[in-house]
Amino acid sequence: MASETAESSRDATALLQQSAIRSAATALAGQTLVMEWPDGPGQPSRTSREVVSSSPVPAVVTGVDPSGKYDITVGATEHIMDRLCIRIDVRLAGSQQLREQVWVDDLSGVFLRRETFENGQPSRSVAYLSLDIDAPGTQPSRMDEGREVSSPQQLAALRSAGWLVPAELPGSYELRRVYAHAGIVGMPLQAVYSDGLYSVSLFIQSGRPDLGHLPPGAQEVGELSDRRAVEWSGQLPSRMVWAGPDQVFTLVGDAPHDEIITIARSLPAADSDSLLSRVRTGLRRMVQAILPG
Amino acid sequence: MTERHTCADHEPELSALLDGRLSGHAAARLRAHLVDCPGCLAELEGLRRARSLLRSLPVREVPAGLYTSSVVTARSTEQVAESHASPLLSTRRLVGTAAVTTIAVMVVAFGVGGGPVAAPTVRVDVQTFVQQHGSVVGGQAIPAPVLIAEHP
Repeated sequence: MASETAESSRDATALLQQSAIRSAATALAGQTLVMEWPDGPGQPSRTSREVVSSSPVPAVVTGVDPSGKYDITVGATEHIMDRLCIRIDVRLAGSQQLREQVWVDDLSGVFLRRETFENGQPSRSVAYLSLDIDAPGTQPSRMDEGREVSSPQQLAALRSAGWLVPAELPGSYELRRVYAHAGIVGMPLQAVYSDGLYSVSLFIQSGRPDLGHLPPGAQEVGELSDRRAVEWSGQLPSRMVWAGPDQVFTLVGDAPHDEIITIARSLPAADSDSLLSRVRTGLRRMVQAILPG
Repeated sequence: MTERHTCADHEPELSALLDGRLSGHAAARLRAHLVDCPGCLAELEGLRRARSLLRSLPVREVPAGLYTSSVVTARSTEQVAESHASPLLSTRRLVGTAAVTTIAVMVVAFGVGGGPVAAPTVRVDVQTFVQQHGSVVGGQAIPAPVLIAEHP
């Protein structure tokens, strides 16, 4: 019985990963997919927002096996837009609560719908309401990926220079790639992490954030009381910005909000201007001056 | 006008950055330079490895007899003088000295720890970051629709 359950889980994981590859291959054809972003299951969709996703040619990133963190099972077959779909259910390992549900088009492997759950409640729902897989589309422009920091020695040198690039983030997010973007304002490093289901990029810039020139709609993150962090609710991927010690951190990813908060908490924040903080900062600088390294 | 720095300008600063003796604008400028300069990054890595090697060397004990006899004599004289002093007076003096020293250190630390913020301000191009994230992860794990543009 246990071996059958394990085999079924491996089959579901394989189906999920193969579907992801097939779905990405469909996107590679340069098709423009039009979708709407509903408020959530059972709710009328918002027509005021239309997202056009011209999928860029993706880089090949080594996958992370999600089965260590998640229990993945094949659910029922359903119809979305008159297309037969296989529903895949994802739960945190050992938990009965759903974390993610994905509806995969049986014919093309395209992900037609996905829903994210937090504490067992639906928190985010994304779906294609109209889709033309065979339509010709314009070739998407490829982003300049910057220079990949591929050698461990280069990464070690950057870390010794003060660039904070954790080897992993809370929630089993493994470091997959690091890019140096000399062509982007502020010359950030981009560290890409994945737990096999979600992906998160941590952008690190040297300096203090210019909070006066952020995109409109930024809201303070109430869950992070030890720092002034801002985010843009209702956006996918999620994005969050805050000041670290002489560095700026920007998190971008499709992880659930509670995991984004946990990741942000694990990263440092800039010292405040309180009396105790100033004394602490001063002591640290004095010790560094007397005992370098 | 933006001040331009070359690798030659940054080379003397690499060691200071490694030792934590470089901060503020200079540190931020050098870190940004390292993002775009594999040569300086390799130089820094060489310094880091050399430092690591030096720290791995065993610590040697000071050979016996290194101190001259005059130093030993001076210490003996001080110990005799201290033993003749009042114990209460020396305890008060010790406590007072410690208190004054602590206050002085705290005041200096307060001054060193504050002052004008040294790190430069940098623009956070969130939208470009989002596009860069989508460009990299578009084919891995479960693809999620990425907001590339909004249409009214």
